[in-house]
Amino acid sequence: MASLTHPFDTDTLYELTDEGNIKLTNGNRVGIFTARGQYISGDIKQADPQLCVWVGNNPDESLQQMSDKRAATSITAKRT
Amino acid sequence: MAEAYRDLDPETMPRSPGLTYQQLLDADSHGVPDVLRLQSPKDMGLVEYPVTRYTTATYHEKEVEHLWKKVWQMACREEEIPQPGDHHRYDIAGMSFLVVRTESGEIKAYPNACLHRGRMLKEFNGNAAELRCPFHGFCWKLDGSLNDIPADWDFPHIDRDKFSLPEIPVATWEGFIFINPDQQCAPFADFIKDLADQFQRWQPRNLFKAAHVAKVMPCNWKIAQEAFCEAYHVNGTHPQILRSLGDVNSQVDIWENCARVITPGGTTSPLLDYEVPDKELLRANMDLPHDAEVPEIPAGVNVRTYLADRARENLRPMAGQKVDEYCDAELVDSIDYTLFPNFHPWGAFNGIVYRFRPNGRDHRSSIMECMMLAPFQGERPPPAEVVWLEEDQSWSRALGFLGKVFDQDAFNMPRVQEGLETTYQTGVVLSGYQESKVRWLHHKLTEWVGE
Repeated sequence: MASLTHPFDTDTLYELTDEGNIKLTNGNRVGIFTARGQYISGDIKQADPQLCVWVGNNPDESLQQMSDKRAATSITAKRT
Repeated sequence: MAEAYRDLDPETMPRSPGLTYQQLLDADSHGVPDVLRLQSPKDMGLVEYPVTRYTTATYHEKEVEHLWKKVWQMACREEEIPQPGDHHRYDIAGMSFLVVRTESGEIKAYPNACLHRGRMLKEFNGNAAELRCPFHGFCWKLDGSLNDIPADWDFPHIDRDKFSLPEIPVATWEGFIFINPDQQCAPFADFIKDLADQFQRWQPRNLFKAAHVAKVMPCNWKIAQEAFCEAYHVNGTHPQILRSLGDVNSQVDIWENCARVITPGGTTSPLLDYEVPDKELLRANMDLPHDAEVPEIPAGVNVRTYLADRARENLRPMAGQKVDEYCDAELVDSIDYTLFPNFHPWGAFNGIVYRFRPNGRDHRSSIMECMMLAPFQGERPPPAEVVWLEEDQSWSRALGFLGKVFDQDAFNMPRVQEGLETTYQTGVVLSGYQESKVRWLHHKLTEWVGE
């Protein structure tokens, strides 16, 4: 399942839930947000919406458009 | 005329703390090509550009008249019209043009309009022996000369020899076809020179179009484009890659008709005030979950070299032994060129190409496209057809990891449009160096379109 700690707040872990929401954990505190960063529930009331977008975005590889799948794996992805 | 900009001294200009891009190149495991050693920073002033450039139909109409009707612009790839009769429809800002391969193999372009009553001649890309209007049947040969007028006794006033489709200028560069709606335009060779000089090593003509994805974006075309013209936004928009990307180490170079931003991969952002272990850098680069195993980097190998070695081996089946000529930077860095006004071929061997256009005459929507060019062995594979994403379909659906990054940019775009419609600011504030490519675009826009 997609997960990472925020580079600017390394104590906070962002994880994708089975429901497609984003769970933030910081010690004993937890917050649940939508994959667009809207607060749903929990003690943690604020999330980075862009990290929610990232963690919540898990594409189906079979739908990808490279006409040559080898090309898809070889091309270094955009980083900016 | 826009105010001129002046050269900066790369040694003394203000820049981010930490390594410069040129210092990173010094550690490359391979010889670094001259093109990456070029530096052309510019002081473009600190002026603000009017918000109305993004928000008003008036400015859009000026762009149509003074830019889109006048400028060289990429229409398609040569590989998309390989055979006589192949034609490609290229639309820009409410105008439509046909790019056609003639019987002799020449490429010509015409306004996509019948000379009789004006109907669009070809709605779809395809192959045809002639260009016949579906309205009344007026017909032209592929070379633009008149072929047939049904019941021509009724048109004694038409001089058949003078009733050819008007040709507009066409040029090719590295497998791309450019057109210019202005029949009196300046020569393409002058327009492309800066870019052409720098792409001699990379030769995208030898790549094929492996993917092409397009989507209508709910924002002005410049909002979409400018999201891809600087790395300063990475800390806000793509925080997940800060551990593996030297965002503010980026080198920005400005020439007359082209500019580039080179952002180093496999190095940590100077914005992080802690040491990032190589393992965590690699985790971020590979988008691995926080508790997943990360490959071991061999002792004595730096991360950039390790990532470049992996990329070389991934490319080898398609690019052959040529991959051994590629330096680390050419394989791990983002070398994002822009040819004014809207064409973005990535340098080196990434094969990414962006194009941003207004969506018809609507200044609040635009067309964003991404092509992926790839090397091949043997016979050239057929080019990928364009896939249009629906409004609710994500870029990641089509382009995987790359699309995930786009989705973060796309998350901002309509909100930038809405914010600019709302703001009490009259001008858009830009940084002096990191956003100087955006400044350059606006500087050029001032030259072509005015304030």
